Amino acid sequence: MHQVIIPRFDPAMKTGRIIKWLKNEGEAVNKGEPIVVVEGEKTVFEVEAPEKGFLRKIFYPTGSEIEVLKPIALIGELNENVPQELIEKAEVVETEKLKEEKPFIKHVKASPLAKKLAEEYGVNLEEIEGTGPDGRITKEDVLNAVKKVSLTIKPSLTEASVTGLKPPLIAKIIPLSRTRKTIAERLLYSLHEAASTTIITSVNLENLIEYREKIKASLGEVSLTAFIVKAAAKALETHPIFNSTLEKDEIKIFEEINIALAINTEDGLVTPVIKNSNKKSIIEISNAIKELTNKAFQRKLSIEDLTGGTFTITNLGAYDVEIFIPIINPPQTAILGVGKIENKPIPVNGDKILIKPIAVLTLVFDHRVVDGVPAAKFLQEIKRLLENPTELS
Amino acid sequence: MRELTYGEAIREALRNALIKNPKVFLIGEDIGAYGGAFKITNSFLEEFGAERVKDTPISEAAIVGAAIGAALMGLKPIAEIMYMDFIPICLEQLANQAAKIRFMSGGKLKVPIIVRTQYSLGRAHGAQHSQFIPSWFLQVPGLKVALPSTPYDAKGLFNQALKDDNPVLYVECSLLYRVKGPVPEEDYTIPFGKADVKKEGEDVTVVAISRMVHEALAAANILEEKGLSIEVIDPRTIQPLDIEAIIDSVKKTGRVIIAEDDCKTGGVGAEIAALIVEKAFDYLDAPITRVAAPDIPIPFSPKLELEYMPNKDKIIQAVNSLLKG
Repeated sequence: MHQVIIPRFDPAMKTGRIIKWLKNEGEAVNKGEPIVVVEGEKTVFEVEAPEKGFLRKIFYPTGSEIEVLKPIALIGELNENVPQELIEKAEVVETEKLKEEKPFIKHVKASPLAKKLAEEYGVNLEEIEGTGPDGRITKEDVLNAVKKVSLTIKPSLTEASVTGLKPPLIAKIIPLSRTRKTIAERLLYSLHEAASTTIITSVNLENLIEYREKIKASLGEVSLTAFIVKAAAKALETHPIFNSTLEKDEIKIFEEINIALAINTEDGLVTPVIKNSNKKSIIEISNAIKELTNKAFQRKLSIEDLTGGTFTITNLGAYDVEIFIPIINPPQTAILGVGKIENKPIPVNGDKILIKPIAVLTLVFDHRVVDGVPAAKFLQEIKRLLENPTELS
Repeated sequence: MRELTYGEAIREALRNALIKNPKVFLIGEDIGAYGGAFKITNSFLEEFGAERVKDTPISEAAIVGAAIGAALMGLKPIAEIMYMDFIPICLEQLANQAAKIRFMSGGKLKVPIIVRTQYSLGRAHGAQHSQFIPSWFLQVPGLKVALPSTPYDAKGLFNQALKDDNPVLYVECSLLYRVKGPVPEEDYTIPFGKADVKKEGEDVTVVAISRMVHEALAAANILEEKGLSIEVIDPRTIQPLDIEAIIDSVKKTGRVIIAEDDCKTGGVGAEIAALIVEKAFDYLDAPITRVAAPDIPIPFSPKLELEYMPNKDKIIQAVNSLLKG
């Protein structure tokens, strides 16, 4: 008698679920022939017969979830008696582990648009009630679920702990809002998946600040961020690999250059998108930033505003941060962090020191997609454009 | 701007063509002495003579065949097929010859004919005199199909057809002949393959073909009072079809109804629906819905014919079921 067990396919796998028995009890099996389909945590695989013989006993029906390395069936000869001890052992496990049969895939009735939005916002469709015909989840249902986000602060827990070991007291519990949850999931995903690599350089913004004053005099208020957006967009035109996404084993380079701009709001971080940033003038970009920022604060950003970003810029200069290392905004390939502008001494010609307005630029990129040298060239190009701002108009 | 009826707009476009281009001539049944079955060519025979306004025997094959021959010899024929239902008689000439000659001759031969026809649904003309069958021509590459719904479009699309070096099927709707609308005096054109947003809206897109444009607008007005905003798009030509404009609208509203006078099975709406699913699946918030005629021969009884016809009420019903189920 040979036992068929649930194999451990990867170190993290704890249980496997039987999707389908490919053989019936009593059927002949060859060594290496698939006899059962099992779903692990990450994948579905077939379990093969360890020996030639007959499938004498199946311990678990379809749908059962079983710990790895537990026996699920016995293979032996037709005339061979099944040893009582093996059966008994298995049956004990069976009563403990046999779970109620669950449907393999839960079908959620939702419109294609609702599904797309749910994915973008990280909303679980199973938690939403559909208001469309026959309970279909519609765009509005998903958006309402997103809107319900609020930083509700629940009253503090009563002082617990009767035991001698006192855990730290909890003042209050803040449930994760949807936005927070989405941020958490996406950024963790990014850190987990992307091979984040960071390169840093300083940029002299003297010319840019002068140039901006000139523009202001003739065209009105323009934000410095607008220049940075434009510089990055122009640099992406010549370094398109940073305007891309990695999907399985393909790098997809986006046709449009849509710069997402990280904006901090009461609800958390949002990244509205300036579409076709490379094709817009500085003034257009500046106005777009103003409009998106206003919308962000009034919680009026539309889905259109929030989707389609191909590269992100985040600027913590206003918060007195000199250097920081952002996390790539998935599924994008790179993000640019901008620190505060500070007057700093810089050496000139090797023997003189001048004081100039300097900012630190941090480029974090996915090393899976592109290497360090192209990244350095790309960052240099952004720097060059910011130091020669007339090229940005 | 001055207002003309749909019929007057077509008549004006035809007359201007005859005046301005000596190569243009008309050919068809009853278009001369009788003035056309719908009086569009009334008095043309007196004005332009029998050389240019040719009455023919009852043979659609001869009408289109002669027109193709004349076109190949350098003229600009405008053939009239009195009822759209009669086109099958000249389908060989139209689909197998006119639509293919340019391609088969490597571009050396051109067939710049316009075939005017109309459909008479809603006039109790019976099952062989009321059909609307534009989808039959969607499977004829080489043939363009224009379906004007307003007097303005009627003149502009006709003028565009005049400029085209390829065969154009120009389908009028006899129920629209008396509908009035603004029409400029000058000879303007409307490009083929450019849809017109007849009314802007946010909640549901209604893509309406020919007569259904008016039903869709009527439905939109009624629904507007209930706070719903309907966008009405008229493709104006179905070959070429401005699918981009339809997709843009679907992206805006997420819901689409296609309203057409032809049978639902294999109708123009089926083709448009397939294209929307191909190109805008992720923007759909509801199933694509077609408001079309049932798959039966058109009843002769006026009451039954009214039941048969798609109309504004059926569009309203469709809108409601998309939103509330």
